Amino acid sequence: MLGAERLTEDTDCLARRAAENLDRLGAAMRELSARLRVAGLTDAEAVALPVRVDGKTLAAAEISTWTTDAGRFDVLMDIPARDGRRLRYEDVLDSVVTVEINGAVLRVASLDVIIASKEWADRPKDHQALPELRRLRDGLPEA
Amino acid sequence: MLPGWLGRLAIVKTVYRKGELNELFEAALPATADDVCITADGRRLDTPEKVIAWVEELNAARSDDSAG
Repeated sequence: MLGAERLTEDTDCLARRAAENLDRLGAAMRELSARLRVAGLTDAEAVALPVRVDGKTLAAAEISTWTTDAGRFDVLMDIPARDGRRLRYEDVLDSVVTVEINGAVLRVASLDVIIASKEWADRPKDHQALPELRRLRDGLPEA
Repeated sequence: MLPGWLGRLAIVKTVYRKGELNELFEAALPATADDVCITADGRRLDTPEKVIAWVEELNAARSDDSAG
């Protein structure tokens, strides 16, 4: 959404922890037939799990990974800053970029926040993604 | 003057057309080893067995809540 050509193949949602917000998020996920996405389980097996997709289940996980009819969707209760501090929704709200999709306004984490979280995560796939994200942040042309 | 949270938003930067977002996810693949839920108390649910146990734990807690 911010210009990167590398696909992450999912949407990460940093959720505000308030119970009523998580209930609304759960309701929206039910509309999209959300089921857990679990390494080692097929989608059919995941559908069969007796999971209630609601605010209580979302609140019980720091990170939950889902498949929906609209694609992969991960719910995060916080994300790491560059120094490892855990940032909640409220902590990044002032730096979001707003994007309009089909008339709905979405708040998207800034490239700075995304880069910091990937620097902290320090996984091979983060190392692969970081050069492009830094180039976009710094407004540099493609190498 | 925008009300509430709208007042904290920057101006809209990008507009996506209908269907354009779905195209971004067409390459979605099956679950991978990176698809790991982490519980609120920090447990990594990195096997199906751990996920199933967690789901049962959640459902048992709901039963206790409704019974209590």
